[in-house]
Amino acid sequence: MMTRSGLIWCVLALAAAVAAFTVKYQVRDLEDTLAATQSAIADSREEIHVLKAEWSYLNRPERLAELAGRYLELSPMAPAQMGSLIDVPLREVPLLDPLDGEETGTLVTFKVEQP
Amino acid sequence: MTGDFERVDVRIAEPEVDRAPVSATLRLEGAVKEASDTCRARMFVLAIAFCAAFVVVGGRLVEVMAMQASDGPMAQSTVTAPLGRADIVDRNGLLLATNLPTASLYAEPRRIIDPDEAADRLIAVLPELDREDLVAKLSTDRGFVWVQRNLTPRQQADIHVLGIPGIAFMREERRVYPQGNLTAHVVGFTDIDRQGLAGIEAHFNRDLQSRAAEDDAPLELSIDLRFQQIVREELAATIEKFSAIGGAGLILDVNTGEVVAMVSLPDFDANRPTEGDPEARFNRATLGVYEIGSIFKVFTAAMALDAGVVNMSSGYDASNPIQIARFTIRDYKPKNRWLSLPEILVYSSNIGAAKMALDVGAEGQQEFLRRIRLLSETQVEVPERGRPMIPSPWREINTMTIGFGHGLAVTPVQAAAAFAAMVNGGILYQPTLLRWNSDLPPPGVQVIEQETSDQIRLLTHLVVLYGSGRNAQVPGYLIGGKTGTAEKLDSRGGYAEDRLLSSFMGAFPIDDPRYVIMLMVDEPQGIPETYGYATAGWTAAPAAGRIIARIGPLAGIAPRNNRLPELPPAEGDADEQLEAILAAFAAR
Repeated sequence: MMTRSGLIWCVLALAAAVAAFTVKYQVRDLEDTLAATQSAIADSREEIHVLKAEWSYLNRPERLAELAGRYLELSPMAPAQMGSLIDVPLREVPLLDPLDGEETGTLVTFKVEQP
Repeated sequence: MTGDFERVDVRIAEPEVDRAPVSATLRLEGAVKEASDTCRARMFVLAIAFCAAFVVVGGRLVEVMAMQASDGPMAQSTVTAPLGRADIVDRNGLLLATNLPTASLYAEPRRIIDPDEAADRLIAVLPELDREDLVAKLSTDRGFVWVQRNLTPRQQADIHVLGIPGIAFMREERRVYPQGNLTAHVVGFTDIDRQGLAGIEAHFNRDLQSRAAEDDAPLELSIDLRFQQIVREELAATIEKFSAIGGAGLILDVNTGEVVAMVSLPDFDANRPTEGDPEARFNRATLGVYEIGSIFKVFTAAMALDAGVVNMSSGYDASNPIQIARFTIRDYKPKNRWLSLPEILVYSSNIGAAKMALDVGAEGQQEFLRRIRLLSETQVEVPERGRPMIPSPWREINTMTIGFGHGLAVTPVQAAAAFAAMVNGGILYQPTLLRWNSDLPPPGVQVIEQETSDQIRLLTHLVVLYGSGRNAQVPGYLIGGKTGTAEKLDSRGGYAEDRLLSSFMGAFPIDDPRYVIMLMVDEPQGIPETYGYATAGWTAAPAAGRIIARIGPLAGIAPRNNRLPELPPAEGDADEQLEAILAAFAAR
C-alpha cells in the first residue's frame, strides 16, 4: 500500500519537475526571442529614423530643383498653364449600337484627338 | 532519560480505564514494544520537520522559477540615453530638424595609466584636440570627462582600435537639420547638449523635450518648404544682382496669420551655427527693425479712410513741398498739383501722405498704429523679436513722416501681419510659425472696417497696375501691393542717400487675398539694367512678381484673366486708364 502510493507520488513529483523545467526553459527561450526582437525593432526604428533624415537631406528643394533642371525636360508650371474643366470645349460623338451599327444617341465628350 | 520513558508510558496507559489504577513504575508491556513506540514518535517529529523544510524549499523553488520570469527585461545598455527631443517638420510633414545617433568619446581619468601616452595616441586620430588641455583633463582624479562629442563613424573605429584603457564611447543623439541653411533662421539651432539656443528650438525647448517623452509627435510649423525655397532663391538672386548686403522675405497666410515662408539673408548652416560670420545669425525678418518707407502710406490711407477723413475721390494739394521746422518734405517724383487719394498711393506722394496723417492727428495715428500692433514688441514664436523704435516725443513732424514711413522702425513680420489685416477684410491675426490645424479661423481682432479693407485692396491693385509696383505684375494674377524705398540712417543720425532699404509689400490674388508677401532688400546698388536705380520698384517688386508667379500654381490659385469688376474697362494708355478709374471713383 505504502510503497504503491509512494511510487505514484514519486512519479508525479518527477513529472511535475520535468514539466516545470520544460516550461521554464521555454519561457527563457521566448524571453530571449522577445529581447532579440525588441532590440531588432529598436535597431530598425533607428535605421528608419536615419533613413528619413537622409531622405530629407536628399530631397532638399534646392537639390531637387538642380536635378530636375539637369535631367528633366520640364519647367515649373506657369500660371497660364492652369485651367478649369469648364474651359475645355466639348464635342458630340454619335453612339452606335455594337450589333447593328445603328445610331442610338449622342455622347458629349471632351475634344480629344483620336490617335 | 529513563524518566522520560516512564512519563510516556503513563500517558499511553491512561486511556485504559478498565484496569485498576497503576503505579508509575508498573511495566505493562515488553521492552521491544516500548522501543518501537519511542522510535515511531521520533520519526513523527522528524517527518514534520522534514515536511516543513520541503515546503520551504519548494516554496523557494516556485519563487525562483516561476516568479523571476515575470521580471522586466534587463536594461539593454548600461549607459542611459540623454533626454529626447521631438522632430520639427514643415506644414507638409517634411523634416526640418531631427536627431541622429552618434558616438561620443569620454574618459575615466582614474583608470588611465599614462595620460601623456593616451593623449598622444588620441591626438593622432583627433588632431583638432589641444594636447596640453587633454593631458590636464586625463591627469585628474575624476570619474568622467568628455574628450570629444559626436565622432564620425571612422573616428570611432580608429579610436576603438587604439584600445586605450579608461577611454570609452557613449551613444548620444545629435540634432541635425537636413535643410541646412534653408530654414536656419526659423528653426534655429541647439547646443551640443541639444538645448535650444535660437529660433523655434529655443522658444519651444521644453515643449520639444516633453513631446519626445510623451508621444514623440513632431512639432508642425506653418512653413511650407517649397515656398521657403522659392523665396530664398529669388531673394538671394536679387541680393546678388544688386550687390546688396542682405534682405528678408516673408509670405503670410492672410486668413490665419501663418508664416508660410520666412527668409533672412545672409543665413547660416544650422548644423554648424558657430562657423562663419556672426552677422549671418541676425534675423532681419523678426529682430531687425526698419523704416520701411512708402509701404506705410497704405496704413495711412487705411487709417484716414477708416476715420472718414478721406474717401476714394478726395485728396490733397501736393504742388509744393512742406516746410516744417528745419525739414522739407518733398515728393520723389513730384507732380506739383492736387492729388486724389488713389494718386497719392500710385505716385507715392510723401506730401499727400503727410497731410493725410496730419488730418487724422497724432493721437488718432498712435491709436491706429497701436491697434495694428506696430507700436509693441513683435509677437512670433522665436526669441529673436524686435521692438519698434518709436519717436519720443511724438511731434507733428513725426506724425507727418510716419505717414509716409519714416521715423518709425518696425520689424518686417510685424509690418506684414498688419498689411494682411488691411487686405483680408480688416481682421488682424497674430503672425505665427505654428501650423493652424483647424478649418475655423484663429482668433483675430477687427482693426478696420470691411469696406475700408475693400478700398485698400483696390488702391494697392492700382499701385501695381499703374504705379511703382508695375514690375511686380504677373500675367494671369491680380496683385495688390506697395513699394517702399527708405534711406537708411547714417552714423551721424541723418539719412544716407546711397544706402537704401528697398521693400515691396503685396497681396494676391487681390480680389480674394490668400497670401501677403513682403520682400526687403538691404542696401541694393543700382545697375545699368535698372538705369542705375536701386529703388524698390526696380529691385524688390520684380522679385516679388517672380515669387508670386512660382508659388501661385503651387498653391493651386487659378489665374484670372479678367479685370477687377470695380474698374472700368482698360482703354488707351496707362495714364488714360488711370484717369478713367479716377473719374469712375469721383462719380460714385
